[in-house]
Amino acid sequence: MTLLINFIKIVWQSLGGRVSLIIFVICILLAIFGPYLAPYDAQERSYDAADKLVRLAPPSWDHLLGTTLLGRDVFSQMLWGARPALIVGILTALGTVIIGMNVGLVSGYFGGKIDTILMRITDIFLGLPFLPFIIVLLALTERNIWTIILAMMAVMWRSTARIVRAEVLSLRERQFIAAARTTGASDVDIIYREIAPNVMPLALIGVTFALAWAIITEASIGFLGFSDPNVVSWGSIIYEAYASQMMYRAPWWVLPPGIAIMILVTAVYFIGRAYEEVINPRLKEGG
Amino acid sequence: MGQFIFKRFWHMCITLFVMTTLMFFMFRLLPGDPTATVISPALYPKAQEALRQQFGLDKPLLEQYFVYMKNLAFFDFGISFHTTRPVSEAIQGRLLNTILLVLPSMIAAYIMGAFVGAMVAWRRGSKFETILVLVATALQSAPVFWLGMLAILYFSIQLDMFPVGHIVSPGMFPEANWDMYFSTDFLHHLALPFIVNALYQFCFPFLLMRSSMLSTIGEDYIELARMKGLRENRILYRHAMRNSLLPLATTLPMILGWAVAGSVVIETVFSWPGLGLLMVEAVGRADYPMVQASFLLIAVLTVVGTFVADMLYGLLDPRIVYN
Amino acid sequence: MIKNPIETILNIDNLSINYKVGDQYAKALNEISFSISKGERIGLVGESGCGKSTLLKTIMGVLPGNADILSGKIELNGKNLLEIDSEARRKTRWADISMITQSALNALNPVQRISDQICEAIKAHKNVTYSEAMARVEELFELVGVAKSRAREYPHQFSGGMRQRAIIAMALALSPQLVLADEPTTALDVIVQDQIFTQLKQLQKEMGFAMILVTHDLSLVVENCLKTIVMYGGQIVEFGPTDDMATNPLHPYTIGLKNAVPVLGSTKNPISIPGTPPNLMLAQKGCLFAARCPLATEKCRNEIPKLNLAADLHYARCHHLPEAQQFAAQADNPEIWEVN
Repeated sequence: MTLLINFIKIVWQSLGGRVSLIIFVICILLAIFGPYLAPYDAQERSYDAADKLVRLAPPSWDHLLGTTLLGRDVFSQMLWGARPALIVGILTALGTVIIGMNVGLVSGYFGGKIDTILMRITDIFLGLPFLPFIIVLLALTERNIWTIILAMMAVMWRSTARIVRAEVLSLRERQFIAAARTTGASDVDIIYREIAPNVMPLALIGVTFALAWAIITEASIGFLGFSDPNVVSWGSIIYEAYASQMMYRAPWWVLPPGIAIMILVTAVYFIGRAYEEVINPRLKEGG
Repeated sequence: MGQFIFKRFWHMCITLFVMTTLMFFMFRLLPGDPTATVISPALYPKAQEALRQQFGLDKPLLEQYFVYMKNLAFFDFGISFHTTRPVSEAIQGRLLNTILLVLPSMIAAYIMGAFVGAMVAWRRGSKFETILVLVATALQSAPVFWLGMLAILYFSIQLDMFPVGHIVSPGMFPEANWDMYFSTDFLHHLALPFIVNALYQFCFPFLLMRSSMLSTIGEDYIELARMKGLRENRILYRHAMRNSLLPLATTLPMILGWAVAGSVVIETVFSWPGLGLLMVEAVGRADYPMVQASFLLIAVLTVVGTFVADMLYGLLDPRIVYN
Repeated sequence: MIKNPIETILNIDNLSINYKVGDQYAKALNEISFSISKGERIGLVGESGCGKSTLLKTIMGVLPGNADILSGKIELNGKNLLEIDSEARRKTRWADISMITQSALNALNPVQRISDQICEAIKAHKNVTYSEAMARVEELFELVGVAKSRAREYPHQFSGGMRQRAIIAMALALSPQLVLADEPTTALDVIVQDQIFTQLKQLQKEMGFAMILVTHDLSLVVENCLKTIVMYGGQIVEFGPTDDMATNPLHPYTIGLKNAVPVLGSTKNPISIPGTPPNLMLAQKGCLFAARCPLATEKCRNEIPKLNLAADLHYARCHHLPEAQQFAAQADNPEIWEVN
């Protein structure tokens, strides 16, 4: 918890970080309260006074962002769609970093054979084409939000593992580790009490990058039509617009989800960068 | 150097071997009828029986595995459920199409990114720099398929400058052949996905080169180069840029992997007949042999690309090869 | 100050430099004046942050963008380097004044062959072919005692001592009149350190260049230089013949530095001066050393001392020069340094 507060404090120092944090918090609030604020249900079809479906209506007071081919309210879909993007993003990012960090810690700390084996496995995962592999996994299993999260976690831990391992290798030789060892601390103690806190800053940067990647990948899966058909996400809105072949006549349908993803991911990137600049001051301009 | 190449090559072989093995077991061991992923349920029982024997599905799993690996070695990926023709037929040409879509845009993006990133960092603190960093980050954050859709929306539909998709105009080349790739029609179709891909791929090397330059500029050897009385251009190109390229080269394999993986969505948006589109369509039709084959080829492309990028890094950084 | 107009190579006069930090200024160099003559060796001593590096960068003309030269002259053979255009300035670098840098590992470009790094320095100033430049590189390698067959290797293939020699070879490539040596041996063990200094002095005798040896280690200066400059807080606080300064230091800071050097065979522990270098962002009011000085009085805190002539050719910036000798006698008592 103190780590998180510290993280926010550091990010808050820079203007870019501050703006990005505010955007991110707004997105989280939308994910929580969006469905309650939405004027229509995500799958609800709107009919006009003459009981005709309101197809591809441009933005109006009734439909702030217009409607889709099937008469669904784009604005409401946007509000519903924030939730899957953030749930998938956050859970995947956390899972990814937890797996990656543990692999990196164990590999770097023990070294030798364990290190060689774990790093060969990591290398093989680094060779896996990311999105295609997830698609194959989804093709063979049931498609819902949880399989998507698990499929992404199964691949994404690889980069964090590499980065954390490199850091552990250099930490391992430091005095305080040697000191802990002479006092008879167990390996588990040393790994999680002495080393882990020191790689946390790196892991946090890993979380932001994984978050950005997970959000974009979730959207890509949605766009390819492989996400849960019962859940509206920003990616699936774009998919429906694309699949209907009508998006060229209804820019209000296809622009909002893309812009929303872009703003959210940009904010996440800037949060990561603001933190990184403080942790690794050489990146700072004029230094 | 020889040892370095050999070691990397060996690692590449292991990676490919493990991946093909992983694929085999993933398709056989996941829930459901194990033969359902190899033999189309739509076939006549007799045809099903013939296939079962060809792939040895009546034999134990391990034996099936050897048959599978042997078949792979002869580029035999099985029979497509959808077309009931050998998968290898459908795959032909797809690999090249994907390479043609990914590689040129990637090279252009890397060269541009490295150059612009270096220039911006060299004269740091300009307004132009701030704007470019913001734009690049935003572009990188946008889903690339969405950017492709917007490009089609504007350049193809609104301005009618480029075709909406596909690799050549329908009917131009009824038989796919080499002439196709040398036609202006092909280039005309390639242009828009190339631009979108290149623009999207530009962001990462640009941002990385910029921050890499900013830290290189502070290095002692840059100051020494200046004290040596070298001309500014030489300091910029031979010392600052040359060294800043190293992180770009390190990340090249990863980015190449992303680009190949990302081709799945780009090909879908532009109806580009590459491996990615083939795979997406095959997944939609539950055409498992096709899914497996296209995935394996994408994986081979990624792994070989990684290997080549590693070699390139060895050329750039003498410390790697000698250690 | 002492200056021999015939032999003087470099003359620095009243040089002051500010660094802009945020919207504040730090006075990095404050009215620096000294000169160095042909073939001379001068030691420049001070803790880190005292302005040594800024002074070297100013002489080499590679100050960062946030530095501002307020006043002064840097005359090389009578020509003010601060007034010539940038191309003329570029040509004087390395050809007339070169530098042996502190950390040879960081100063060498890791991805360029050492021979190429020396060649490019030669070719930036002389119109020679690559093979002519290469011949010079091999000559230089022999001069500094590294096998010339290794010239085409990369920095990471060299040991620390070899790298430092390569840097020296590079500094001598164009037979400069003045070599600035910035802590040239800090990273090396004592034996190699000694070898390199012996060799440097030998080379200097043969080639006739002048040298400014910058270090925080007073003993190196005593062994190697005839004259010494002591800097503190961007100012020269003491200047004079090394012999005189070693036996009879005048400024309390110099006395402190002398105390900080371990003496072979002595049972006394070296004492470092408590406290930190002054904050140069603040306006100077009184002596910069006052906060750490056992002799400091009200006058020291309020009145800026001048560089006074105290003995023959020996100057010091202190209000309490008459008490120096008495203070030096008791300076090996650590308690006396506990000012606050």
